[in-house]
Amino acid sequence: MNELREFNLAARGITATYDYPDAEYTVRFSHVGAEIVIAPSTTGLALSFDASTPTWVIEAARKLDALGSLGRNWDSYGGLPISPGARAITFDALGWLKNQDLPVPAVVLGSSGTVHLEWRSNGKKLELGFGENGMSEYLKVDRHGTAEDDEDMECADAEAREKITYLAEWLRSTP
Amino acid sequence: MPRQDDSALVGDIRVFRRIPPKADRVSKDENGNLVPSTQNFRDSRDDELSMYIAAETSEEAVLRGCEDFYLIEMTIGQIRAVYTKYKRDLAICRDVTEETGPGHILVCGKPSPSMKDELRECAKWVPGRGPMDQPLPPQLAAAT
Repeated sequence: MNELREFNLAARGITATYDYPDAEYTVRFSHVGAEIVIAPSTTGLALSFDASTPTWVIEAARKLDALGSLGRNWDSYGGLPISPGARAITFDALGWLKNQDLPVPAVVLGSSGTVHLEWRSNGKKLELGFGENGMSEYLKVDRHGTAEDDEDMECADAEAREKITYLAEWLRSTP
Repeated sequence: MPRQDDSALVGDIRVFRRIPPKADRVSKDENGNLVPSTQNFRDSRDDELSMYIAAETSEEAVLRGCEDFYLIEMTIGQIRAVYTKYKRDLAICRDVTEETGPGHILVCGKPSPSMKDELRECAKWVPGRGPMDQPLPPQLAAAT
């Protein structure tokens, strides 16, 4: 059972806060049951979850939302706040992947405001980078240490979805 | 104007870099070890990575104003080897100003995702300045 229990499903419209201080979650009922909507404060984007949403997706969405609280120079090197476009496509990616059994990724803010999902599983590494105009880069390293990457991509919509889904399935695959 | 490479900056010269304790810039690998993200090896300043020559400064000076940050170290030789392996242009130059303080250098050259991963593999936590030496931020402490 995932975090739905933590939201006190008997209540309506109650705002709950988590250990990421800037993330607020509103619980409301829909005709299919309890629905949790994360409403990030900066862009108004929302990702809907239901009882079948894997915990890793909820946790990744929390981390992504928390990145929105970081201002300019957050990294002491002039690092930029999260790019709205990067945030949007990362939310999309979580939605595309929410039916896959994956570990919780690191959700990393790049110095240029990009967002990177990073997984380690089965001796492999997978990193997906998202920028203002879509998926911007990836890195996959197999259990023998052989790396494959691409950079300076501007991959959006259906093309990005296909690429991201393929890479996630590679991560889950056994050798 | 393109940066000029300083050919005296080579080999075993140790360099420091600050690592922020936020935005998942540090996470746990499959063995539970705390490792820096590859994103720590690219700055937004047009691919000019800020670092400090260890022998010309101090850990305290590098962390001044960022006392909750961590420190990694590596050698200039390791950095040059990665760029040479991937045949990418590289210029390492001094960049000492009143703002940066002594020992500041810039590693100028765009790293690919694979290069950032190899740079990350070369980096080691400075003893006493790593995430295992300080109270972990809540999200990192909770990570499995």
